[in-house]
Amino acid sequence: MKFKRFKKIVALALLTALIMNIGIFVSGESVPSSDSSYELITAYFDCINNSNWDEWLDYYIPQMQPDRKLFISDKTNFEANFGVLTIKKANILDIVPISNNYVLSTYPELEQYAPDLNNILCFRVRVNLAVNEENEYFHSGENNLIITLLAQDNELYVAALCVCPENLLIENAITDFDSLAEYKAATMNQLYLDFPRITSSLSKPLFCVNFLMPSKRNYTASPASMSKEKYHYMYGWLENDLTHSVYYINDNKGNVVGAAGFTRSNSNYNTESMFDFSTIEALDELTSYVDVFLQEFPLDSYNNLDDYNIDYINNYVEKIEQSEDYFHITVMTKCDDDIPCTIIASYAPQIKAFFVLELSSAYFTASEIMDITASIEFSVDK
Amino acid sequence: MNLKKHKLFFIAVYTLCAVIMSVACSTKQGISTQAPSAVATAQPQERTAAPIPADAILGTDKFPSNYKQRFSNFEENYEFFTVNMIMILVDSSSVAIDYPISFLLPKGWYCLNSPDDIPIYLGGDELFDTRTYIYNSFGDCVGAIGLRHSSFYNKESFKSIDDINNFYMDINSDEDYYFTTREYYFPVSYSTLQFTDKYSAAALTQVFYSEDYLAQHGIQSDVPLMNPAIVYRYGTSITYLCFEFDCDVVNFNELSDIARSLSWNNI
Repeated sequence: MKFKRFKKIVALALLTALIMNIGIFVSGESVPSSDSSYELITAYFDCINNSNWDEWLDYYIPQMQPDRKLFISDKTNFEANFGVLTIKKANILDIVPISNNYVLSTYPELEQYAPDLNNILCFRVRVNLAVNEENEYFHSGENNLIITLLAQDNELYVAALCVCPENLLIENAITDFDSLAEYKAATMNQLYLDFPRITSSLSKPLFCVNFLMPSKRNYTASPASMSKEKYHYMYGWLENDLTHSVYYINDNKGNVVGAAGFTRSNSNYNTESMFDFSTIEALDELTSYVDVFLQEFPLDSYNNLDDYNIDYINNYVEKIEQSEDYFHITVMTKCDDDIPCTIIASYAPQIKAFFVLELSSAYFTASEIMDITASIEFSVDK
Repeated sequence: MNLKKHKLFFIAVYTLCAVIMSVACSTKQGISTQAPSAVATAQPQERTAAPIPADAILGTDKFPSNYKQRFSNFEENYEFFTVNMIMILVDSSSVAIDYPISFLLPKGWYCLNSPDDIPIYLGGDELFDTRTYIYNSFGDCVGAIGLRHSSFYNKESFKSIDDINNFYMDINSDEDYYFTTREYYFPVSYSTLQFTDKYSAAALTQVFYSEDYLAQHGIQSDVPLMNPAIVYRYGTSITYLCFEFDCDVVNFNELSDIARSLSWNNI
């Protein structure tokens, strides 16, 4: 009885919202029901089906509407089939609620709109699409998308639509809201770095690395160069940084607290390898990944590592990880120079590249270093 | 708005650590129970070293000769400890077995076997058969060492990460307080030349506290808590030891140094 009444309220609210283009009203609860979420998602895709972009705009949270209005007001975006504008027809196959931890780590800015994280709802939408032209987000046929809804002032809005990563589907993580993921979502932000850095509209990165950083200091990355003030971190790398490989890591007070860079492996320079690391299984057979690291890391090219007193002989801990695109081995060591640092070096054999993070021990706790290390993923810019 | 939220979050975590330590780490002499993290970062000049309890286990500056091959600058930063942990076999014999272990801790720290109050490190007094507590030079309890048997595993050596997770199933399966060996397992090497088996070395991991678990111990928090930890098996037996430290008292380099310094004296 109560449920029927609730459904009526939701139906009435939907109708009101559709007429008035003001988003979807839900009952007085702070966390909306699945029903109202499903109806909102369906209505949102109906707008796409009917090319009713003005109404589509109104489903977004008010703070995001100006940007999207600019997007749909530009005819050239339609002509170029940018993003969602390429979709001709969308047929929803199913909608599954998922944890919001992935989206919160990808779009940490959403948290400012919803102080209570329970008000951020995520759904995997399996949808059959017909598109004008395939782009980096949408293709014809079955697509797995993540749609994020946000309850704000008792109204439910769309906050984000993005592609569902393969690993979320494979690991079935989409149905679990595990407490460790909750911890990470609450305390860490995702940082994405292209290598080499993009230096012109024509350049393209070889690969991308993403990893979690503690959100309490809102860390960002900025291009490092010799012309800037001389910082301790990866200074030797910068001297040889012909490939634009180095970033500084900055905290929210403008302090440089570390650096991130990439280098090619010895195998890349036609050195024959002693080990088979063509597959993750072959790597797993090895007694120690340190051997692989020592063989592959181009120490000769980076003699300055000795100057920094990096303890690359004695102090390794190691981890092998399977990420979305590439498996990789990660070793950690320390640098006992004027500024003690932890070095995290991750090697992806398939692309014969090392990603190295040098982080000040004064800024990062042991737990944070482990969180960062365990979160490193390599991917290609698709 | 976002910055404000981060500040609030930081204050919340800061307060949480202080509360945890005040609840968990009352020392024998009733010395300050303030969180070491707060003391170390905010007002280091206002604190002085606390009197060391008479029954404290102290470190020395005499190090094993092989440490020179394992560490750099260790003499400046650490002291060498030997702690004799005793575990009583739970069978008809009830024989007490000594497990003397050696390791490094930062200078000025000490250990206590029997503090008046049992801190919540290592799951309070339930998860481990025997525990020793670690104190910094201000008399704050900053961690603990625990010893126990594995109930689930008796193979001689680990062959895979699954073996490791099965071995530590007693401590990695509770959803409210657990060692996160499934997510974080970083074995440390003594040196590249000595690292013969990536599965037999001491490993770094983290300990997870859920909000519910914290609430059960009188600590209100909106987010879970993670502390750095070490797990180390006793040779090929079913016995193992674990270290847990407060989240702010050791950095990663110190944690890995402590893990690399571990040795069982009777193996």
